[in-house]
Amino acid sequence: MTPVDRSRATEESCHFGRVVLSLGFISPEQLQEALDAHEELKASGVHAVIGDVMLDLQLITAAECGVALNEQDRLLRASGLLGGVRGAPSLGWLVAGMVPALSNLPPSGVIAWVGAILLGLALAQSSALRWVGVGWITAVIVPVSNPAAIAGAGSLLRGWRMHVGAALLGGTLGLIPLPETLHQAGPLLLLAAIALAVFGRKR
Amino acid sequence: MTPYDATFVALVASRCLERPKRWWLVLLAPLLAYGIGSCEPLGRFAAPLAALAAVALVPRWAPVSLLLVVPVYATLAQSLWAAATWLALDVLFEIPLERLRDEAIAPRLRGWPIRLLILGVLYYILLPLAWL
Repeated sequence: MTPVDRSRATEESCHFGRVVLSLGFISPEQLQEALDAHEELKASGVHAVIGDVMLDLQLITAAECGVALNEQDRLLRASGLLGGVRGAPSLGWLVAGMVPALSNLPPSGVIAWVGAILLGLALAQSSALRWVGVGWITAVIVPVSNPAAIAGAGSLLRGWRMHVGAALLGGTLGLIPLPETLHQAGPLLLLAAIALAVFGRKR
Repeated sequence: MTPYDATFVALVASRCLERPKRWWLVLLAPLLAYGIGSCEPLGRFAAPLAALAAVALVPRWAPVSLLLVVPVYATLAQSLWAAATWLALDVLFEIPLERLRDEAIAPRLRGWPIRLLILGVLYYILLPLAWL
C-alpha cells in the first residue's frame, strides 16, 4: 500500500457514516439507506450532511450524533488530518531545524537544544505547554538556551522521525561552521526549497 | 534570532498548521515578548514566562506565537514592526500563490518548494525595510 493509498484509507475510516457504524449505532443496511437518501437529496439539489439525514430518518438520536461527531473529531486529529501539521513530513522538521542556527546559539546551546528536542519526544509529545516545560528545564541546566526556541521548534514536530530529523538538521546547521550569511532565514529558506525540489517526490 | 528572521520562520510554521479562529492574536506575541522582556524584576523568569504567555495566547497556533517571542525586542517600535511585518507577509504570501497556475510551475517545484522560494525572494525584497 502506497502512502497515498494509506492516507486515503485513513481519511475514509474517518467518514461520519463509518464512525457511526463502528460505534454500533446503526447497521450496514441502515447506513446504506442513509447514503441512498443522501444521494437522492444531492441529486435534487439539496445539500445536507449525512448526520442530518440519519437524524431525519431517525436512524440515530441527537445524543448519538454528538458522540459520533466527537469520535470523528478524535480520529481526524489522531490521524493528523485535522489540527495537526499538514505539511509535516516535508516541512515541520525543516522549520524546527533552522531555529538553533537562526538563534545564533553557542555550541553548548545547540547541544542543549538537540538534547531537548530528543528528550521532548518522550516527555512533551505534541503538547506546547509541556514543550515550554522542557524548554524551561533546559534553560535552567544550560542558561544560554531559550525556552521559546525549544518550545516553538518542538511543538511543530510530530513523530520520532521528525524529532530526529530536526535534531540532526539543527545540530548540523548550529555546530558545523557555516558561512555567516547562512545563519539567516532567507538563505535557509532558499536552500530548503532547493533541497525539497531535488530530493522531494515529484508532484 | 532577529525579529525579521523570526517573522519568516513563524510564517512558514503558520502554513504547516490549521488556522484557528482567533489567529490574529499571534500579532500580540511580539508585544507580549517586549512587555515581559522589559520587566526587569522577572529576571531569568522572563523567557519562560513569555513562552507560557505565547502558548496561552493562541494554543492551537502555539508554534507560531512561540517563534515570534524568541527574538529579544529592544524597543516597543521593534515589536510593533515585527507584528506588522508578519501580517503584511501573511497577506503578501498568498498573492503570488493565487496568481501562479500549477501548469506554469515546473513539476518538481510545485507545492512547498515554490512557496519557500517565494518566501526566500520576499526575504531579500523586504530586507532593506528592516534596516530602516
